[in-house]
Amino acid sequence: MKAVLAILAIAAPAYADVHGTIVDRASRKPVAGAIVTIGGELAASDDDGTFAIAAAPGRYVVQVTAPWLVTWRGPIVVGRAGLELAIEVEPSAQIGGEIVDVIDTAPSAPGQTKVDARLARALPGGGDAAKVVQSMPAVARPQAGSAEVVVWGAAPQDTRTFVDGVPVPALYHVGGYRSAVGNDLISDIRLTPAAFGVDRGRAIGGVIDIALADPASGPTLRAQADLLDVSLAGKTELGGTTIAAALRQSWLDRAIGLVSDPATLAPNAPLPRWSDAQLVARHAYDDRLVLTAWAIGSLDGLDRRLASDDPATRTTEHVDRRMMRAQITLRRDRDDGYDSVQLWAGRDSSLDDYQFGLVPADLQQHAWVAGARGVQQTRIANRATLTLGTDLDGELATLQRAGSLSVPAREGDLHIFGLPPGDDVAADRWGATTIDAAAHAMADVAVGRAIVTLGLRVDGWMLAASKIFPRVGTAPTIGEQAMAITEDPRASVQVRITDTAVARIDAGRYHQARAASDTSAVFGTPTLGLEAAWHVTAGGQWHAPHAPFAIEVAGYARTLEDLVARDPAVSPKYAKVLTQDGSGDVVGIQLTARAIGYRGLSGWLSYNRSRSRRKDAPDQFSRYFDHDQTHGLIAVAGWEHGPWTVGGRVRFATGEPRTGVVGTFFDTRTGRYDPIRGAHNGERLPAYFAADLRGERRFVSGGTRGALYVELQNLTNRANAEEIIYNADFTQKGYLTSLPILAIVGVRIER
Amino acid sequence: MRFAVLLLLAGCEAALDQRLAIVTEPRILAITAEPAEAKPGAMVTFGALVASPNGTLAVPPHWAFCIAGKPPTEDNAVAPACLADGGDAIAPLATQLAITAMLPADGCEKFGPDVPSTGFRPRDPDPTGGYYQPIRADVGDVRAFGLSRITCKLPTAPADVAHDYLTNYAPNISPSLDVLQLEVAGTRMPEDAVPAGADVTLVAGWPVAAAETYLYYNQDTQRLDTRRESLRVSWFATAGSIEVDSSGVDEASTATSVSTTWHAPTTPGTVWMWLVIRDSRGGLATQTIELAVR
Repeated sequence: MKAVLAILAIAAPAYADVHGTIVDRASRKPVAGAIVTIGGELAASDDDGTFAIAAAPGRYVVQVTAPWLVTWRGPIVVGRAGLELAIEVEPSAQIGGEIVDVIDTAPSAPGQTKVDARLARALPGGGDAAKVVQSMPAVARPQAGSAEVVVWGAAPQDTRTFVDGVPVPALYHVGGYRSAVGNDLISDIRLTPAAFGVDRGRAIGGVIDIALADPASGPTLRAQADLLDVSLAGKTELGGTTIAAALRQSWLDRAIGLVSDPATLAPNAPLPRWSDAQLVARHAYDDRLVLTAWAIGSLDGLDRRLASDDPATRTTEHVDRRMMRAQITLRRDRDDGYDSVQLWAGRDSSLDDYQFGLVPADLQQHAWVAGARGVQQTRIANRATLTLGTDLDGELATLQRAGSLSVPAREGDLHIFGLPPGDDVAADRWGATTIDAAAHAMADVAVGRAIVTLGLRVDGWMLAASKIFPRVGTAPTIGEQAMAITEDPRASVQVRITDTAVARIDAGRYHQARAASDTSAVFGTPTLGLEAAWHVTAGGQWHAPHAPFAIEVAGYARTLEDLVARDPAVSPKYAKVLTQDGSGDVVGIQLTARAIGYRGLSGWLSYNRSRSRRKDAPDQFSRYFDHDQTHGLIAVAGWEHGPWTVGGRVRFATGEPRTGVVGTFFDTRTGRYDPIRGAHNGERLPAYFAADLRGERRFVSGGTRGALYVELQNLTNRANAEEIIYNADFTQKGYLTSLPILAIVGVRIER
Repeated sequence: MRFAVLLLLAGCEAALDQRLAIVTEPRILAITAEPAEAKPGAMVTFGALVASPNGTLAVPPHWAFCIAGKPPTEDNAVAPACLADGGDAIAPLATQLAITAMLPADGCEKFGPDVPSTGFRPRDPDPTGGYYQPIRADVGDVRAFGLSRITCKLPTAPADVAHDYLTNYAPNISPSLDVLQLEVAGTRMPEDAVPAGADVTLVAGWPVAAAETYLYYNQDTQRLDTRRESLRVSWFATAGSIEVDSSGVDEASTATSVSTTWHAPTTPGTVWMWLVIRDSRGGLATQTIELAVR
């Protein structure tokens, strides 16, 4: 440790000081709390608008951001003598000031959270920007090892993730340790937990938008390594086109392999392998016409094995996931708006191969996906904007499934953790096509102190399945295509009550197509259609002009209709194992206080109270949603001071519902006890509490910048319950607990 | 690095007893059916092996057929309704040590692929292609279910495949066990002279014919495959400890025995041991051994 400190001490004098003052362009008053970014450094302006950043000599793009400001960028050259800057900024129409222009700065919806990637990396999460989603106010506490995101009581598959508007199948790699869309090239992350606008569709939960950064904003070369993985990123310029690339490869399983066989050491702790890569190119033809193209991909693998002398209890698992997306976007800015057109395509593959004793459960899915998106936004009057768009999205999937009907488990299954699946087995191969062509229009009108947004999204759906009945011998199979048109109105009204207080209400109708994996004539229902929801959110925000604090309250309600659910009947109808008789409702309230760059401190404190319930059939009693968390409290903060960055997270959450065991009987065919289950989701896991801390010390040596970081997860070493487990005859009950205190140490080097 | 890695993994496993090999209270270890597979409506003789710390109990169970089907995605062996003490889901039989009863004639409809009328989904078989009629045995507060394999037709197979299956499928026959062998340090031990505290190797063998070959309808290829049963032996004792609960051979193995280690108790006395052999088609047989630890 002494040696490390000595190195840091020697390296520190290589900084050059960049001082500056930020003032409001109109009033000339100093702007406090704005976040200033220079290369790898970050600072917040003080009350007098001044800031200071220690940076290595070189060329940079300075960026000044704050939620109430129009983002300011400018190039600088830092010499060894340092630099003095004077920056003029102007407030955005979003918060503060007279609302005169709503183009491209639509006010944020209640509960919406947008986090700059730099802040996100400073928070506990292994330095991975998109991991911040799991710490956002509207997101339920994720289970250890889970890659799922539960937003305001919505099922994980109901929330959609977009990268620059392109949908991706998963935000995280298998195991949830890292984001599947990379880290180094991310600019910011925005979560809209409900009532999102007309430009997004095919989701009845929330929307996660990942924006990739301008490739010019990154370092020339960056390398990072810690216990989990190693990554490399860099950029170059080719004939006026800036190109950035990033690559990441895990080595966690290999690190574990140094001391034991990861496949057998901890069969309940996933030790996945992952890698991802991103390539981004940007070419500015002029100040107003920009072409952006990128390709991203991810690979995931997981192998687990539970060895046994008894073939009936041997368990193996093999998971292989692959994702690739490529897109090209041309955007032209006009004085009165902008035009944008985007084409994208991709390929998804997944293989989940389980063997529980003698019972197999295999699911393979391969899909070609493609789409196009066009947006035109125009100011049609001094205080009115019209946005028109088209959104085409298609998926051609081929699937193969064999084995148990109850794996993969569905939300609402009466499953007791750790028990083998049912041993009724079947097999099927089929195809499914999902095409959605949508047109949407949205008008923003500022009337007095109010902004009214009215939108309509019209989707034309084509849902097809290759077989409506199981295949029998060589008899020709019969497929089906169904067409549907949905008209989803969405609207919001925002009223500036005072100079510091804003109230807003949003509402809308939402639809999403059934999953291709549910359209099997054997395991599902080929004729499944659309799931639907109504969202309503209402809230208010208090934010003093130019103050780096905001307080927000958001109430939300969601009704869910036509949800795909299992048919509880003893004898389901032929080729109709799944129904659309499911329904649900979610209601809750969220209180959030945010600090934005106050003396280098950014973060939020949020409390969420929620109730999310479901029914799989009309005649059933309503039950708690599998991931319902009544209370959620989270405090997240990142603090920048000179070469130091410290991030912390404290979280409390109600335990998720589980179905208890009230008795047992012995099955002499299998030789094991079966549980007699209590009320469906009638009990809960114990409450969760964890505190995490992350510290980073940056240094400069010659022309090289770097950082050493340490992250301590679960500081209190609390054994949080992740699942209820039982002994063999269900007479004893215990908990599968999460990881104890864990340290992750890493280093980052960049030029 | 090693410390960090171990930290990563610690805490994931909780210690709850997952063992069933030592009998500390009365338990029904097995329900045998003879024949092991029969058509609905056939006569089948059922017997129960009731173990206790004092040896096998000759207590007659209350027998009843479970006649309620379960939803396809119910993971338990039987429908919840069959756990009730009364009601329409249970067809009581009698209270006696072994019972010969006629399998319900609608077994292939309730528990197999036959559907009450067109428009309903046939039930799926188990991984060996089998369907089972549940039978319940109650001894005091102890409740167990046996599942008797029933022969049903293939539901969605092409006609020629279904015909071949009907013609050539051989119903399951219960496996059998050879006499248990006990060895200490490679030397065979008599059952009446087991050294106290010794590590005793238990060797359970079976005739070659116990692992039968059978026709299996492959739902993916829609053809008939010939497969071989896997076999597993569950070990039970009233004292000492046994290395594993069960040992077995999978379909690819032609081995005719399995073994494990029994750590004999350090105090002399009588120890009861039971072996239950199961084939993957639901057939089973038992063996009871009285051991004298000296």
